[in-house]
Amino acid sequence: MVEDMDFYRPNTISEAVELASDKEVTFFAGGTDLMVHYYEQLDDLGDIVDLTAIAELDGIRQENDLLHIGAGTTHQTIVNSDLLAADLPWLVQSAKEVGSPQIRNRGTIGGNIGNASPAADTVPALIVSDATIELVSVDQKREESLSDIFVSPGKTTIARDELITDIKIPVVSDNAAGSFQKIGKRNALAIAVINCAVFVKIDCEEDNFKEVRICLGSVAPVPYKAVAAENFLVGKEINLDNITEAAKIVQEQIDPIDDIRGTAEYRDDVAEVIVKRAICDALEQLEVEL
Amino acid sequence: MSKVPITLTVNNREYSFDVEPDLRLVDLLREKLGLMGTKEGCGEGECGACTVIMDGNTVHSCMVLAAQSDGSEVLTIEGLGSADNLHPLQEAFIEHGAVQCGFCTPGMILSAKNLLDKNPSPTEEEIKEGISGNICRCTGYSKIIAAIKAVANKGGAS
Amino acid sequence: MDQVVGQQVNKVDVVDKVTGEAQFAKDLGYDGELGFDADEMLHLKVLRAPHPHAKINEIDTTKAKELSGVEMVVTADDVRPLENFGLIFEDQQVLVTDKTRYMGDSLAIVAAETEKIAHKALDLIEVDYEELEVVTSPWEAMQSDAPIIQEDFCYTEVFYPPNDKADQCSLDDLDNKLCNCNLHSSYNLKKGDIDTGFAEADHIFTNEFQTQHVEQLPLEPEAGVASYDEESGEYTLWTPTQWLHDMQYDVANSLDVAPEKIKVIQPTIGGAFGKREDVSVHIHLALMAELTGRPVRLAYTREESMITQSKRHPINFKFKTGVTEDGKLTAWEAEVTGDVGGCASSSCAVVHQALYHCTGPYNVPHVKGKSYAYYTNNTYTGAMRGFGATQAAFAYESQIDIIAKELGFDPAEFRLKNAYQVGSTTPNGQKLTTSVATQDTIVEATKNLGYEPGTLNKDNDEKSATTESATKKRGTGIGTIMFGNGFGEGYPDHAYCNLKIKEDGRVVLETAAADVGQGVLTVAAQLVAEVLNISVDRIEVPQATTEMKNAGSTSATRQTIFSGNAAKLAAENLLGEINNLVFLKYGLNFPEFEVSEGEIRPHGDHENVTFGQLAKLAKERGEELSAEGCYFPETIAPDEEAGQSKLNYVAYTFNTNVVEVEVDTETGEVDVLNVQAAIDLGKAIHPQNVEGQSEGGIAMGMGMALTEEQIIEDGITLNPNMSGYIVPTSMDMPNIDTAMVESGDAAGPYGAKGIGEPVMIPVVPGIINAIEDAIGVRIKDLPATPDKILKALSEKEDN
Repeated sequence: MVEDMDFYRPNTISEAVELASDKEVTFFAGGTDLMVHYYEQLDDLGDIVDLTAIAELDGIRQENDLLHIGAGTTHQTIVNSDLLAADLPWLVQSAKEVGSPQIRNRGTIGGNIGNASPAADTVPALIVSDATIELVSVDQKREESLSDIFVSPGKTTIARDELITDIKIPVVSDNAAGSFQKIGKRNALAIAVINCAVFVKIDCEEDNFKEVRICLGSVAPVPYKAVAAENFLVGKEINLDNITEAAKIVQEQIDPIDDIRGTAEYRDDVAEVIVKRAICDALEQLEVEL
Repeated sequence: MSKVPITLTVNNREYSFDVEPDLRLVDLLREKLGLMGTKEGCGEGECGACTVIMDGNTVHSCMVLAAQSDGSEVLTIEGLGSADNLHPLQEAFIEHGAVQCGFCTPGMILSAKNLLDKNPSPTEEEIKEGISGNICRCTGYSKIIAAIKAVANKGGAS
Repeated sequence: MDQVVGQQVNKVDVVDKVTGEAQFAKDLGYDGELGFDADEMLHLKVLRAPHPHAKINEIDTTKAKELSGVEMVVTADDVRPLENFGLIFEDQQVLVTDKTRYMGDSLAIVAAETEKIAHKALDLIEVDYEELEVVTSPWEAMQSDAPIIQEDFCYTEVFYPPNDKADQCSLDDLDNKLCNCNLHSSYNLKKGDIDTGFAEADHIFTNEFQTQHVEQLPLEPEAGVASYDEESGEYTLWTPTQWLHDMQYDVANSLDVAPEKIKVIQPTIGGAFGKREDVSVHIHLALMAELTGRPVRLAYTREESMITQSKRHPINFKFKTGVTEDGKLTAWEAEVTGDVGGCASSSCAVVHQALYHCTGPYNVPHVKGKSYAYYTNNTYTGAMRGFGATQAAFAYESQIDIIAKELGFDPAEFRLKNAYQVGSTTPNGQKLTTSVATQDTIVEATKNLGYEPGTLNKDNDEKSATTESATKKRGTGIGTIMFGNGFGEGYPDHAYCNLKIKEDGRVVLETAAADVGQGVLTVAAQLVAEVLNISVDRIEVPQATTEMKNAGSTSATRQTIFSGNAAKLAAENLLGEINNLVFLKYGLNFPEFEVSEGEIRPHGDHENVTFGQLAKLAKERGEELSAEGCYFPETIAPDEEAGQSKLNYVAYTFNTNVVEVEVDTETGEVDVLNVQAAIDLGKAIHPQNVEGQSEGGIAMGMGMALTEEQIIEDGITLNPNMSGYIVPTSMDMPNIDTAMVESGDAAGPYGAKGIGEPVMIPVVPGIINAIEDAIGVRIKDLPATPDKILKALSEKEDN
């Protein structure tokens, strides 16, 4: 471990970003991603800025038409949130699928974003919810659409001195629902072989899809937004054929890889299945008969 | 490397230390406090053997930096009960044959306690979920689940 | 006093385990309990191979030695010549002298004031090496132009143990490739006449099966502490092992000192499953304690444990089986090929045990087989629960299922038709004379899942009627297995147990048997309690050390029979001592008194005498009230030409698992719903322990069937961690019930046979057969991952 490593535990966001303004630091919250590399990589972290004492990073609240989830909110807090259960049950489901109770108790939603794993569970659920993130540095405060920040595994457009502070999600309107589906190698402690979140808004009178958002994890170096399939469905009649066709489009467009969790071929095959299942599940919540 | 002053409560006793920034909570508990009941099985938050209860929630003590535990309250297996004064979960684990090699047992019991603290009468599925972060390679979990169920039926783990 | 055998008693070591007081190896040395301060202790780290097959030119440790806090860094060049080690075959170097053979080979050992510094020093060691071609499988290893992995162990013909007939290859032979040097061992099996067998068959089935590298994954990684006393030349090791006295020998042999100079003390053991049979930290600890003159400690990371220590062998089975129209097996031919990895360990025995178990618990008059074990540059393979017989059972129970289905038999009925009974003869030619309840296990397990033999694979639509969606299909499958207890095969195999009554009346039970969590110490205590008519809590079981007498290995499903019998014999001998003393002192002869709850209770007007009083009495006579038991049954070595032995194993355990699964036909995911086990274990000494073993074995078997694989590509493990190596969690477990069939074995204590390994075996083929029943595809290479299932389903549709 580096000899000059220092540890800071600020109580406010401004103190935290101040620390990051003039030196290399690693923002460190639940540690559930960073500590995995304890035996190989802790040397590389440089100074550590612990975020777990910053109260303003923690918590879920609604302000007007926006839901705010503090970046330091743990997965378990999301699982326990009545507000989210009512409005974004697919996000709650995605948080529930993270790791294990110990990891959900400690790991944060901001960490899940910042870690930029292509297999992150909450990220597809947030992306289809149209989430934006607030980034704060000493110099500025800016907002980014979550779907725009991912560059490659472990890499984002977030600057070194910026801290994710808040996640903002528009309140879900009527006639809209979502779903999160995951295939892991076991029923707990599973990293996604593939996962998928969808959001659909329907036009009940016209019986068609008004808005569709589909995002998959573990099929590309970054969370994969299935734009072609989304575009295909919007305005189309709600029926199984169209859903199947959209799922096929996803399958045709993705280009997954082989890794220890699954083959590219398998991911291709099941992408279609889980996209279809996710859309059907969302429609079922809207009491649409297929 | 400048040390970090911390004060924390472990098993109802307060301690103060100056810790290295990269010291893990598991190492603090084991090497500085001699609480060897907390085990390290993988060092990456996958096995659950290092589980302790921190401020009312189970955490992997191998994933928490000791410096982060400043001001917190930690319960390890040593604080739960002793040979002369066994906790109901410890008694149930004995009676139901829920222990084989014993390496997962401290963490498993603490996960069970935290589950029952939050949900005194869990269903079997909830019990399974409550201990899903604790790998046991010996028992197949059946007897562990039975032991937890028995304590829940008797009115909890207080 | 009620009976103790067959009852539930609390395990003798359990209170320490639930309170966190139990001391595992990594917990030792920090509070002065070993006779030195924590500060005195040096921390070791081992530099592993940079490449799976590389010639080592130079190891430069200069920079590592300069790091502050580093006490010593040694390579092979810095130490006296050390003997190779290995569980059966000694071909692994303590420190590599010439080249690496797999990624776990040791290049250098660092001793430093802290673990962190030792870890850092590893990065400062520079290794100059030349990459050699990597041999990744037996199929590559057997090619005539394959690079040779173990040059010093090339034989023209290899048997276990390598004998006079096994001529070492000459250099000319090597140059001319006249011998295949990567063949580590090969065995034969011949019973009856295979040609006759096939001539009698109406149908012949040929199939090939393949298993994977499986990690035992005991939850406690390898660790230990050692000290060295320069004056006496004695080494003390606190580190777990499945066999104390074999470890003592291994360390002594490598360091070239007398075994009595090595004392090994057994800490609480955090699981084993075969992985703690091999040397891990032991020799390095002893060596560094000696060289540094300070106590030393070495603890592996999980990654190091997975890359360095043994795996379950991937084994390939090629079966050709003959069967008559009415479903009688006539002939079974087997070719069995195992992947040894970079060093041999127990490979010769594992792969031939797979061969010897190749027909399962079924009568086959004509058998012919050959096994081969090839060196590769993969992580080496050795013992894991079932020791080759687990792999074999997946293969033979798949083959049996295929045959039953093709010929239109119900799988349970087909098995009943061919299953062993008393009087059956194994492939080794051993006639079974006692305790063969194979058929009862089949009937019992099938019934307990709600079926009768004859209906197991029927009504598939009905089975799937309750599933959530039409894409989920249910199926049932069966696995029935046999397992030989003990090393057998004429190998010297015995166990001692010593008992002593103290002046406080408590009974001290000394056994060197390793309790890896399975409960052998409790079983031994129960047997002693039964004989002495006392409750188990009057018995003390001290920590095992090499200063006790040899109890043999906790492996080969042998401790219930071996250490169990030794404990029972010791107790009977102790009862004799008690009777003798009572006669000498009081003139009473059994049955003029009874022995109960630690007292001698004479009939008539004599006062009771306690065990404590008797112990004092013995002391006054200058004696100790103690006794010894030793169990040393005979087995006979199979001959080399045909593998025949009239007495190959001491006993055989039979186990059937009937399994219900649900398969998602769209994702290939398999959910195991229900497992019904029925074990012929002779007699259950501790029924709750039996259930616990069975449940744990089934979990481990589920992992092997569905998710577990150490993925090794070009000699490199891709998933050396618990996030990538997938074992079952609580949320993956099915309902499990275990029925105990008590057939009463002639050799076992109170009729008991061992169950440690056989409990994990039948569920593996049971799951595979259930998947086939559900969706009509057969997975022939493990594990049955969703990828493979989906692929097989789509191939089936294409056809």
